[in-house]
Amino acid sequence: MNLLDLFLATAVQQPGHPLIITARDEYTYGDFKLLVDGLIGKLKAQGVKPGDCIGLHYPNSPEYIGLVYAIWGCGACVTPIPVELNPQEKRQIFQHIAIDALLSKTNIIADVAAVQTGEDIIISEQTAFARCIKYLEKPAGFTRLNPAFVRFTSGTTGTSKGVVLSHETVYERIQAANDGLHLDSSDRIVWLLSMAYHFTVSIVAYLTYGCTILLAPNAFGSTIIQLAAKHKATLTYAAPLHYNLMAQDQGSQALPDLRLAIVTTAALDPAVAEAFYQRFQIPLNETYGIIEVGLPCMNLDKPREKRGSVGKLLPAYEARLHTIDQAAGLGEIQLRGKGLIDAYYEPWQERHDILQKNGGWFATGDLGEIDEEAYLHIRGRSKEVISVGGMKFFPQTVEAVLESHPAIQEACVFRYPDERLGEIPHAHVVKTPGIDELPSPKDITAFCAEHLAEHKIPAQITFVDRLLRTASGKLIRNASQLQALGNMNA
Amino acid sequence: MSIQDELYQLIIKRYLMGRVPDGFDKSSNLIDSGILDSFMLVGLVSHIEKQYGVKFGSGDIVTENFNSLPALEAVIQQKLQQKENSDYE
Repeated sequence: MNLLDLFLATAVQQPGHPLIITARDEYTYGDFKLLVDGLIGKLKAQGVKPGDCIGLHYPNSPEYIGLVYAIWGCGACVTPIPVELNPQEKRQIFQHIAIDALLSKTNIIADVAAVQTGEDIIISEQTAFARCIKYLEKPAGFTRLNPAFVRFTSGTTGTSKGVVLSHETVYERIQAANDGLHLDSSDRIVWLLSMAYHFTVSIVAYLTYGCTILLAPNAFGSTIIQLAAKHKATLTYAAPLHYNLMAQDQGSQALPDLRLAIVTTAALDPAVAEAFYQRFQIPLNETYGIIEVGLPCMNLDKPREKRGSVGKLLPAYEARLHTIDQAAGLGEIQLRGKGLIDAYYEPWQERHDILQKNGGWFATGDLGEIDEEAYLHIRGRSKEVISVGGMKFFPQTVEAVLESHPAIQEACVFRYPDERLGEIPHAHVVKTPGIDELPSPKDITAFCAEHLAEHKIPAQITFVDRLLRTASGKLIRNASQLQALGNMNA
Repeated sequence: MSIQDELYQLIIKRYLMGRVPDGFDKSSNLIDSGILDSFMLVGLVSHIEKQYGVKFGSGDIVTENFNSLPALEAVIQQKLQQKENSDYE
């Protein structure tokens, strides 16, 4: 199957229906079909063929969506290159995923010049195509999976673990999610997140079920509210940061058409949930999304009564808790059901092998409990990912940069709660023996800025005598544990 | 370097990849021009807090404070002044 065909079927049914509305443009399903058709022709003319992997370096825009569908129309798969990353971080993606060519917005292509071979070719007003250096070969078995996406993620062990999702898997995920969301052509969805990180159980679902995407030009509360009110938005899909900024709005504009306010990317502070409710009389719907699984849980029916819960499992999924603390009813959340990961890219590991380790269940690494009414509550994330205003990364990538500084022997980066952004990174660092003069935190920040995107640079850097580790030698990255053990000033 | 200059250089280097759009200067409206998108907002707040040692509350992250570099400089200066006053108390 090909996800493009699902969109084409919808486009035939409702050619005049708006697909995406931005501050500058509006595309109907019919317009968008023409856009995608044209792009497919241009990509094929450049030799894009089935089995290729194309890096997509483009900001949120109608063109981003059009290019994804056009790449699929050529039988190729997409690896997003998030535009906000530092050039070195972008190059790292090409070094770990075998990418045949890249598509970039012309005004930012200089950022990926290091991986280009030959000249870039302008294929549309603002889009360039270029062949890339091949740092590695695709894994055997890759093409057989019918991949739609290879998403680069840094694994918890510091090694790359790109995630491969097939067309079939994405389709299973959106069908499973729509058992709860009930999306249809009457839905108008405010979009605020990065399309490079969020696309499968969102944009693909919207285009499949005939919805209209309202692309927010920025994340200020007043902007989001005005956009939602003007177009009678029925759904918002956003991070806690966005709901917090909306809740702070001093105006009186109501959002009477909003039926779901989906919270994703990070845990929701109950104070933000209450402030949003007080401002709009609308409860926020907390969810549980995992790249390897999809969106198995959404708190759709009791968002206010069960605040703090990510809801019940959707019908397509089952969960079990691998007991860690029996008295507290706490355990590692393990899941099975539709649309689970097809493969980890490096080292190559297919679904069957990933799941076999846990008897057919996917071990999320997150801690949770399930209450007497079957609502899941997340009690801790063992995967240590940090989400700054909805932009996620693993601490190991930041630690590697810190440890490349000559004055730093080792580093521990951990998430720290933040009222506005949800979480921010903090770092503990140990100086290299023999270094007399310590660099200032500002010097280290400037060093990090050469290698990392701004949101990944630690907000606080503290020199400590040693890093705290568990008995087995694993770094302790839990802020409250570090505080309790006296290793933190804050 | 003034705060405006520093932020202008940051925006050009990190968010516009060294390319200055036609008509963009230090007095340009960052919001109407579409330059300040959702992702740049998070990065810009992170940068300002680290660079100037000030803290933006949720109520400070509003269009009036971010629509231009002079507006941003004014709010940063105000926060620096408040910080200095509280340090003396």
